[in-house]
Amino acid sequence: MDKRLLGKVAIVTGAGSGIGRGVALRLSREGASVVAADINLEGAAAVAKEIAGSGGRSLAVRVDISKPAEARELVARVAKEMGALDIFVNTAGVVQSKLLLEVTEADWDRVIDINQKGAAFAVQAAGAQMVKQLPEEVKRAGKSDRSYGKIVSFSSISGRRGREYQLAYAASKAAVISITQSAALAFAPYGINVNAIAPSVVMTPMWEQNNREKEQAFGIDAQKASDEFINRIPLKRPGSVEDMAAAVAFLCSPDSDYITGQTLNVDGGFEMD
Amino acid sequence: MNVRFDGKVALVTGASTGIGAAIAKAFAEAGAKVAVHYNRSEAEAKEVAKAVEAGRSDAAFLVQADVLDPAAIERMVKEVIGRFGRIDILVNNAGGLVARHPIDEMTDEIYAEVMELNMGSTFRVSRAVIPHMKRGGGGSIINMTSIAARNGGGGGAVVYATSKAAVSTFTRGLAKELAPARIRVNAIAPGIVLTPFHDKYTQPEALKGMIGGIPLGRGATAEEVSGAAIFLASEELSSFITGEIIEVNGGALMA
Repeated sequence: MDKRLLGKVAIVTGAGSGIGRGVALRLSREGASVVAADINLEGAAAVAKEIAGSGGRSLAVRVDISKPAEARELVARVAKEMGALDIFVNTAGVVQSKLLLEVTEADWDRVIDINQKGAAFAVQAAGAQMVKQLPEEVKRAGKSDRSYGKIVSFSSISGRRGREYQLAYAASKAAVISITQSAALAFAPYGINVNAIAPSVVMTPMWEQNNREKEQAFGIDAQKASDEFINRIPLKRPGSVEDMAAAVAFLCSPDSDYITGQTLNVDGGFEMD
Repeated sequence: MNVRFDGKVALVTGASTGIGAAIAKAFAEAGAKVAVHYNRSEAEAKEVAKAVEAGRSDAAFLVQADVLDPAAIERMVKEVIGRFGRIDILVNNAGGLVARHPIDEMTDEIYAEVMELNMGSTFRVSRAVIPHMKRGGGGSIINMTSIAARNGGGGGAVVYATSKAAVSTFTRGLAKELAPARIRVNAIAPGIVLTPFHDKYTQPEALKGMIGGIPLGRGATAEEVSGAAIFLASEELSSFITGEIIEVNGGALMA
């Protein structure tokens, strides 16, 4: 694998498990120095250790993405210790599957704070640093012919249209698409690309939790729920963490310098927008 | 991205200039053999074939066909198979605007030509290639749609936009149909790309105005579009992506 991201500094949130972990490892393999951030420091540290073990440069940081101040502190720390921030991938998030009539205010607030508010202020913090480190002439010109930063957020096919049993989750993921677009417009004059990925099913702890909750809510067997959903995907299989990481790597590479404000469905053909 | 297509064969239609030429060269750089299709621009196509072949004799196959002629399409595909034995990647890039006309000047003839040039060619070339892709165990089809498919197009380009919208929907339907055959079908929707297309169809003042409205403040180079083609063609990079349209437009339209 070519090291297209050599010399780049990347923060990956949610890096302690699932998609985030896969993204952190992939960006490291492509040459980036990767800061593994997660609400679970142990998980982040394990990934950082794995990266260091293969000769990469890494750092583990604890962050609660629902707290804007922590997102800002994370970025500030990375800028100080690593010199700059080139790539920010926010995979941190939670899922909730519940009967719509049973969703509580506390449920709503929690999912929205982590997934939606978290996404907004993470993008803001990352963008602020990327703008700060721009060469003066680029700031003045209001446009550039190459990219000066890459921000990637995670939406979901549940962000494309509503889901009966994911009131808060779907709303929060729809918001990620909007946040991606707003930030892309705000940062375009600085050559900073902001995009998102919308997965369908990936076999991670989040998917397992999703099915357990559906079991609780609807009484259908978790495995059966999973199989039925996967059967609706045209490619008839779940995505792998590697599928997601490869798409992130594309959005972080120079090959996507002209792509901004977009949400890429990496979903086996499920949604088709 | 450093992805390899060694042993793979790509057919790129409309590869003599612009986006098609950039894509053909990108696939060649990544190790693919490339069938370089052209219609009238023979000299330019020969240059592309030369670039494709750089250091690898026999890596390029120059093939002429008027995509408005169904028989010529059949012949073209037969010739590519005769030469390379397989087609793994198809880029349906041939197309064009023909001419800008408001609706009252849009004749039946121009309407038909635009629809056939963009949608008809995509349909017919795909139909001819797919049996060979199935024989080869799978593949990747990449259609060239446009920002116009979503936004109705620029001045005088309503029919062009409509033909591209058809290409987008064709992409989705075909993706579903061919999923069991392990053939992925996706599309790229460029915005303003600085190629002979605009030299031909867009007044400089109008182009300047269009570019002014693009968030990234510039038109794309053809190479910036080819990156998305490499991504979509690669099983290693995009094997879970099908029925997807990647908007490569500097933020001009966000989907």
